[in-house]
Amino acid sequence: MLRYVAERLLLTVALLFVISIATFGLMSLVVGDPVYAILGSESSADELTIERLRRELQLDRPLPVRYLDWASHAVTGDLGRSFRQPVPVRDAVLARLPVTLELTALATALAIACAIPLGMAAALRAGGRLDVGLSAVAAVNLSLPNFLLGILLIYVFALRLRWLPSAGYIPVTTDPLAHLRLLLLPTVTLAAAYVGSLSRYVRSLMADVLHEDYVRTARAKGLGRAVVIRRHALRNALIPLTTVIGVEVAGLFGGAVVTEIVFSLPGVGTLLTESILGRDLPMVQGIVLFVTAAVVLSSLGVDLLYGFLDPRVRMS
Amino acid sequence: MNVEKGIQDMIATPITRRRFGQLAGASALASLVAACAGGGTALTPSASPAGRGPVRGGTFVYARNLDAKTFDPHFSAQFSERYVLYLIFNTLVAYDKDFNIVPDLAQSWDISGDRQAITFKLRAGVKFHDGTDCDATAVKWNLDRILDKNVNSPLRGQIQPPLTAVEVVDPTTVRLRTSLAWRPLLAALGERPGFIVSPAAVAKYGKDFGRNPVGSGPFKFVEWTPDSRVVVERFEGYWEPGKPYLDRIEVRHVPDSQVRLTMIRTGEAHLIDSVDPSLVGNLRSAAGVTVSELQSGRFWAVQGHNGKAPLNNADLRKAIAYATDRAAIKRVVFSDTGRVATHPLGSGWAYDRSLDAGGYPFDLDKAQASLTKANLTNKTLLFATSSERAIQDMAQVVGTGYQKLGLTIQHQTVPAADWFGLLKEGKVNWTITNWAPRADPDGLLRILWHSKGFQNTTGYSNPEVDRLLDEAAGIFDTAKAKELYRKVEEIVVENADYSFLVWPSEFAAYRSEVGNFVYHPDLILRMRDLYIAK
Repeated sequence: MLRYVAERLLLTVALLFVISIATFGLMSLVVGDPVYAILGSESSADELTIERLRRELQLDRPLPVRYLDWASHAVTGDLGRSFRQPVPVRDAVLARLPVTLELTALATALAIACAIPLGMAAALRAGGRLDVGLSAVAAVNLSLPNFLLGILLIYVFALRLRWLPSAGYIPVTTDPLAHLRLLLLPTVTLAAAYVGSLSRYVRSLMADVLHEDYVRTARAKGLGRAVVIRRHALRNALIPLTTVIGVEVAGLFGGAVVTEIVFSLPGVGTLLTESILGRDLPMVQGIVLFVTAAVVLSSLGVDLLYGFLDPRVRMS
Repeated sequence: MNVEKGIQDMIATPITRRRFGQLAGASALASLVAACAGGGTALTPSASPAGRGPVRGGTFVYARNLDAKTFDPHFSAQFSERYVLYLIFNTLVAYDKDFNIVPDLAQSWDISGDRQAITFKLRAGVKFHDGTDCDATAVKWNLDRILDKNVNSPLRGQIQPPLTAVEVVDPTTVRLRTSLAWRPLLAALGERPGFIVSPAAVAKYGKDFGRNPVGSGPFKFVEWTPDSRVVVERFEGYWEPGKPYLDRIEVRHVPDSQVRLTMIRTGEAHLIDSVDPSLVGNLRSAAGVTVSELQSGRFWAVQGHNGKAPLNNADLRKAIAYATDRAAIKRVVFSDTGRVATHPLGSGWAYDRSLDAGGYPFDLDKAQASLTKANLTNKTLLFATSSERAIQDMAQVVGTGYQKLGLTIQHQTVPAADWFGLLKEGKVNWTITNWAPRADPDGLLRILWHSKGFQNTTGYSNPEVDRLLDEAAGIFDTAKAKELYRKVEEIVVENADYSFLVWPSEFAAYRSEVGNFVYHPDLILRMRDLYIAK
């Protein structure tokens, strides 16, 4: 077990290394000279100032040298300083991370809380009205892009009904209620697509399990339908679902980027977007590292959770 | 000389939509107008709700795309930072709605006989938010800070060379000496180089001053959450009696234009700007919202390099200028708002209306004649523009005109963030651009058409224009200077390295209970005098 975890962690480090080279190369080769983007929209800097800045940011040095310099610092946990803001990259990302984590956690929780009962109900009456209806809703959810759904929700709940604020962010420490009211629409926006896909998974997993021998045996023993579904069928169906959820974390982050922009949330997603457009190479590099690590570690976590949920996996 | 780049202003705000579009292909959500510095005349006079006078109190919310990097004015280079700077800081002088210079920290000023020294009489008893004195010593310290090569302020080039020395005459008198007579220095002191920061606070915070700004303005800094919001609150010790009216101002970062429109309609925001002209009609009918239009002096133009292909051929430049359907651009891209532009200066005291009818009217016959004279061997031309939606729309319209001449236009799109770098490096040589007017006309004309202008990206070099610009900059009598600027405009318009398109209108919207709203010619909303009627 320990060996397995160690191997996975080592693989993660190797992956981070490869990803960092790829990001560095892409950002440096694809974009033009970042100095003008960094200097800002109204810079009146003369050639001398520009040259000086280029030297200061070490943009005059060859690419491999710059990468090695960056990597040797990154190993010690120093991700460098942002081009765009007067802060170290690590501090900036850590400051933004809680917003994104909270949003994705809330959205995941909401998606699971909706998907399990819906998927179960659909499986129990396969081909029924609810099942067909859910398929349709899932298809719409999956194909409706986040940004459009976000704007639609704002239109309905903020502009028409005036029940909720449209956008913005208030820290939970300032005003917990206002904080949650502002996070409600983004959470629903982000969760929507996953309710669609997860409920379809639950439905098909459940439908499979319901045809298993042990379910029939349990029923034959005289156990009630509800007990069989809850204790035998559902528990077995949920095990593969953890993998699905783990895999979708990466997709969830992509959705969070867009959702954060629509709802003006100061999370990692907005930071990433601003940094890409501001050609802030160290920041993009740092965020990509963080996100890669988060996705890889969450899938490792799911694998470990799997063993916890299913003793058969642990023993083998 | 207010030296800032209008085109990048454009990038600063609408980047939202583009950013959005890049991420999600959301062109449907996009809106158009950028917050670009512009000059002109507010069509809507400042309003006073229900005719009552100003009242004190209230928290005011302004929503915009806020891409701030620092609130240290001497290192500021983002358009949106200035909205906040004008709340926290005072400038030495200020502008009225026609870019005339009016007092702020300086109550009056004298120009010496040889016109090489300006002596400012400062307001007495002004304090910074940290309690230290905002006096002549502080003013000298500030200007010296910009001039100090070790500080490496990006503003240095705006005031030096001519500014050679800053002298403290007495606690409320400061004298600026220049190596030659140079009128644009005055206007520069109403902008970033003129912001006076607390020397004690800079000493205290060092490199972090940009995150802890301390000035003498009506509002003091409370907090800044990057990419979220900036909060300032009333400075009780402000020198102007009874002001400010508002208790608190929140500048919210809302990148999406549709969300901003919702916020003004629900009352979550009191004020928004950069409203897309196509959406203005919608807002005008919304309850409780007032729309303000400003005829800005920002110009949109097609620019081509005088020395590089494809537009190094003067007859081709003229053919292109004649084939540019400005009225169509105004109609299609700007929902028929704004004005057709024919020369560089569309606002301010040097704006010469008699030039409006000149330039190159849309005339395909004359275009064809010029093209024949140009005698092109290769009729396939590379036209490279920034990826912003409004620019793409303009490229479509002008491209149609060019194709009617039998030219084949290869249209290349480059990412907006890289566009200006590529232009400076000479990799983009025929493109669409826009420039904001400066408080002093020297600013724009010099940086674009002086042979040494640092935004001269068309390789333009004309000794006559250089001479006229240098001579005009030494003339403090604006009526006399205006005559020389008219000559400069006529020469550069004739050359057609810039083919002018439109002076757009800019739109802001505010809640009807907001009083004292004034649209400033540089488009930076000075929110310091606003109030919320009860």
